[in-house]
Amino acid sequence: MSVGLPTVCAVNAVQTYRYLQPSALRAAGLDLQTCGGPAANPRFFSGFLTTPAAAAAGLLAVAEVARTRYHQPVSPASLDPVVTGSRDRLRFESFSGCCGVYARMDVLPAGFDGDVVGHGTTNVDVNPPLREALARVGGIEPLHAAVGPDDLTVSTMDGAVVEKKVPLPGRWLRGFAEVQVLTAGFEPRAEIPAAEATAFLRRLPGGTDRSVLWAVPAGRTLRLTSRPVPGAVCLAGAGRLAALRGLLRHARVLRVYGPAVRPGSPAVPSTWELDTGALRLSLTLSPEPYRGFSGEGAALVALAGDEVVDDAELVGALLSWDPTVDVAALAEASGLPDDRVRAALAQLGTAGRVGYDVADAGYFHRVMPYDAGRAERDNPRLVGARVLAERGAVLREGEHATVRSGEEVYRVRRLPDGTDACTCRWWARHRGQRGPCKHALAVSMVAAPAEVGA
Amino acid sequence: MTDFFESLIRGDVPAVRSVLDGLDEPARRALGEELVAHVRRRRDNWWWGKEATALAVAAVGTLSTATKTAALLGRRSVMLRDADPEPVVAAARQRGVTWLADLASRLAERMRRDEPWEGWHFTAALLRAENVPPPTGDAFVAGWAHAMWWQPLRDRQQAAPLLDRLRTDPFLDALLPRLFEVDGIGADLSLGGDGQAVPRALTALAVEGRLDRAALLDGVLGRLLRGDRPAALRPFLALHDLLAPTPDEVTTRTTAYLRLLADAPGPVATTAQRTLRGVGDAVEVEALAEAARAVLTRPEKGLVRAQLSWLDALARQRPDREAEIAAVLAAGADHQAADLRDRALALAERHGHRPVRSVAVRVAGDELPPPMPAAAAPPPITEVDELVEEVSALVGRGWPASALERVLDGLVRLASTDRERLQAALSPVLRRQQVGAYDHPWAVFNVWVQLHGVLLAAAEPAEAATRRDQWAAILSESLTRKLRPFWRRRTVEPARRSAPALVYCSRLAEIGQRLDGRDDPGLLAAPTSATGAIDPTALYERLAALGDRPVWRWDLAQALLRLPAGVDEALAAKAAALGTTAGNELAGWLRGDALPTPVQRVVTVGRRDRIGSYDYGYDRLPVRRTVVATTPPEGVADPLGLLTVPAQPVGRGHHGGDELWPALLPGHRGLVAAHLLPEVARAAQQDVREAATVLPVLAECAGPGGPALDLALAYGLCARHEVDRVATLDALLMLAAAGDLDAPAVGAHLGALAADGQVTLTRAAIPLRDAVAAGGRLSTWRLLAGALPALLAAPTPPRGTPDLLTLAAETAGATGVRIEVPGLADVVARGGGSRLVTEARRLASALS
Repeated sequence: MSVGLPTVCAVNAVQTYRYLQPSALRAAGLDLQTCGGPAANPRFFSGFLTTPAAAAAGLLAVAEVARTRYHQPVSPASLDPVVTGSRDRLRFESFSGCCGVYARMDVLPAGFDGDVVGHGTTNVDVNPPLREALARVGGIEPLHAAVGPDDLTVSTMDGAVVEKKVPLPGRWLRGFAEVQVLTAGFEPRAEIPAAEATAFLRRLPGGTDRSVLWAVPAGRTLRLTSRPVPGAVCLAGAGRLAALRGLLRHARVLRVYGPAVRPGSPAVPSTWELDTGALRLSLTLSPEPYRGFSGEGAALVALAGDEVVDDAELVGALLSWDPTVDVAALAEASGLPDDRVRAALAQLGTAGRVGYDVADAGYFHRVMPYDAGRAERDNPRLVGARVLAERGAVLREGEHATVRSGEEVYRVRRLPDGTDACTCRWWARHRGQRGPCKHALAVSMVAAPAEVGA
Repeated sequence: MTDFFESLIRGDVPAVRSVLDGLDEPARRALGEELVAHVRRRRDNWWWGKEATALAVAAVGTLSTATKTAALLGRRSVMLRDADPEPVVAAARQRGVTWLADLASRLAERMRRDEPWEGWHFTAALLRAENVPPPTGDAFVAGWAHAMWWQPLRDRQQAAPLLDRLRTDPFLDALLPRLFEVDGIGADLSLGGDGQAVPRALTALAVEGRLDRAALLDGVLGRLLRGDRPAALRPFLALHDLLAPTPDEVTTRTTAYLRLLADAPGPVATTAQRTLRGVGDAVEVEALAEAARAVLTRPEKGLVRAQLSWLDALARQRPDREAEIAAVLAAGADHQAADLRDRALALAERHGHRPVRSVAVRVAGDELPPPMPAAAAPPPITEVDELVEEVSALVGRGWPASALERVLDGLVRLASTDRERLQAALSPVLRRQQVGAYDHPWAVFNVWVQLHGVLLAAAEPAEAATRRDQWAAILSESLTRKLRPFWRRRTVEPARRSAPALVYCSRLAEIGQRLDGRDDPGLLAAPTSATGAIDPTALYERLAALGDRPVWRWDLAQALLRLPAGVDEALAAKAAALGTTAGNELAGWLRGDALPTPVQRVVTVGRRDRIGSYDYGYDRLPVRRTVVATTPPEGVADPLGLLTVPAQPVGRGHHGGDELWPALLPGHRGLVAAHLLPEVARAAQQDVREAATVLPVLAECAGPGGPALDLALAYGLCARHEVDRVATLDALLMLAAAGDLDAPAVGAHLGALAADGQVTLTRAAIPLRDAVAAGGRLSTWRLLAGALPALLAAPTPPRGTPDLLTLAAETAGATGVRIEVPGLADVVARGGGSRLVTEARRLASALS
């Protein structure tokens, strides 16, 4: 058995990190240790970071999100960030312990000078001494950096191995996958200069404030408003943007992305991205602090069907570590129409096999060093829906359906926008904001009444 | 073995030990299994004190491995915080246990970071007894930090001072480096005493040579660099100051200090600045310049001011680098505080920097996006399933007025056309949501109880029969309170209930009676706009379509109340031509026989009377509040209390049902504001969250404003919570864009409230600044010009006045509009260098 591979056996599993030595910033440069993914301890990159202070601040921000629980902060989270080496791009990603904040730092071609020697995704060790050393990084001299151990470290593997066992909750995996599906519907909403961004972020309410506010462009800056208007971006639990602070000094612009909203819209997720020209740091916030991405249910409809899974297998085999996935090229290579390629990519997103970059408005190839897909397939709502469908609890009547679950009777109704409404308490509570309920999923599973409906 | 377990329950440690002493190893193991079963059985018992000690003795004396013992003693129900370790160690020695150290490290692993004191002293005593190095997990280190100031009761008498304890602490060397690593541990360190005991003791040990001074200093700097919550950084900052680094020590750590100066939280940056400045010219100019650029954009004014003077001094000392330093100083010219901007610019110019002066373009008016008309009401509910979904989503979660109207409208239509399907679909939902009838005399005029009653009646015909009497009672009671005529009618005693409760309960009683009808066309009062307003033409069409079907009195009354104010003769003629009573009523309303305008009066009220000798709530009430009292004009009856707002003392007379007010009278926002004003004021005076979020709704409504709306906006600007201030800003901008904002009046109220000490003025600066950024500069300037006279005339102008003066100067300059500010000249004439006078001078020069 290869030692570096994580062991995901059940929904709530334990992740074992095994680094050959701790990551450190030495005289020779930044040395980030890896484990898991394509090999036990893969090596992705060796070269120089052209903007070391900014890269250090960005890496610290990603690590801060990884070890924070923004909602109910009882104990710090413990999962390490992951790094993806793709063609001409290094991406560091992390996901908060409360499953409500997703952070990613993309080192763009201008940000490094060297070669991405390997492709793949792996965990990266960020320990307290490294955090302190990163906080000290200053100046403008390029900094040598390596992602993954060099041959010397591998060959002289001695007692310095760092091994950590941390819980890997199913909801964390589901949330990580869910973000990719949700952000795929985002559009750029505003772009403001760094000076204005600093002032704006500074005046936001602090960590304990959970109110849902909206931001709209006003002059050169953003203004808070209490209600959604077209072009507004939701900002819920503004204290969760704290991780952006460190990079503000190096940034040129703050860009904000979000889905389309109209008056009366409920809270929605949003992405806040700082761009220094050489790298980008983005934080994606869940619609409300107490809502983890894991329960947003955006991927459930795709997972309820079978045909998408086959397309996803086909498309997944064609991905080749491009920094952005070209839908048209994939369509040509796979022989599928564009929309089915997009659906397949969304499906791959839920399995953790692609990520979505709002700045490029495209997917990128990344294979999580965990089995994320299984967790999402085991989503409680999907499991419940499968049971209902198998028991023949669904009775379809045109656009409506009746679902019998035990003693209770629920009515599921198809809405003009293609989603379903239900009379169950779950739907009543969320009204479609967190995806379909299990009754609606069960109805969509028996879409062809001849198969299971009887 | 029953006496063994009895002794265990009594917590009789000697008895437990004496039983154990008489047992050989196999018997002990057998007893161990019984012990585990015993503890499992008593699952509702909390083991603490002597009982926990006895249990630990028994466990160590009987169980076979450290794992089993740790599992037993690590249970959440076993609290080892005051367990006595001595007999436990003795029992282990007597039995010849070899795994005591293993047990201790396993217990340490099980400790929780959020209650690290739990079992720490016990575990530590085992470790000391075995003389092994301590575990270094986060929770154990945090427990160590706690133990520095918290000693168990029995040790406290002979507890030595912290310094002596630390000097001989066997854990000191192993755990000290971790003290700087574990996140949040500073908060554990600073509890107890003045919070500085640990920093003092560590410094003393460094003086003695027991600890390495350089290691301490590096540990502190590392902690500060990695950052933490401000409270958790405080003891480390104190340790830094007590260590008082020498110039040599600082010089070798300049980079770390510069990073702290640029990026760390305020107090840390201030310390770094002071320390660096203390070593004089050891800091390289380039490195300092880079950090200084970052400092000059920070919001902490003291930090920026000190940085400016440092750079100024440096420029004098180093004439060769003067130009470079002047360029850095110029970076401060963008600071948000005007006085710092001026200072930075003046210093930059003194050292030879020639800034490019941008010419501000003057725009005399507001630049606001055109007001958006209020959204249309969502389409009516047309099918049973949709109605049931709405009911299911809204029951128990509050009913916004628009959703309530939509459901009621759908209910009367579907109940009279599709009764059976409605019953079949609605009853399971009501059962799942546990909607029940609540029959109590108090509940008769409760809107939500009556709403549930109507829903139940729609779902179960039997339920309808039982409620009929109550509906009839409500309607007969409200018969004397019908809306019209306004003039020349017998006066009725003032209503004891709020107008929303009267109107909605009467309407719901009517709707209950109406459910039996046939082909009901729906409510006349169903809004056509999201604010609740009804388009007069739509109401005319509804009446025309009604034909000779019955008109429900309260439905029509509510529909008329939702019409916009104003006369429409053409439509009135058409309505009169219908020839029906309802048509005539509409015609009369449209011709001006509408809701009269009340007489409004601004009053400042005091607190309610003190109740009893101990009245906790009284002391927390604001001392004064300015409200608007309204009365119906002479000769007008007000049976529903729509036009009457009494001047209630603070803390009295809250009715509830506030959320229904705007949609009850969507064309009379000034009147609604008078009803809601005491509640809005609570956002500013009693720190209530989301009490001012009604203001944008009022801004969307129509009708004249008046003093109540202006006062509500003034209170909202000073609300405690961001969400309320943001809502007020929205309302302000919407009103300004529509030309409905009386900015000088809002300002005058703001100034008066602040001068009277009713509100915290400093809170108003941010929303007003945002209003300028959003394009409302003229409105803001007029508002400020209205507020300043009262502020400047106060014996001591309230805190925050200088900020408003700055903003006033900016907006006056940007608009070029001259408004006389009474009292400004007097303040300028006072002279001196206080901020108030400086900013007053700035405004005066902007106006000249």
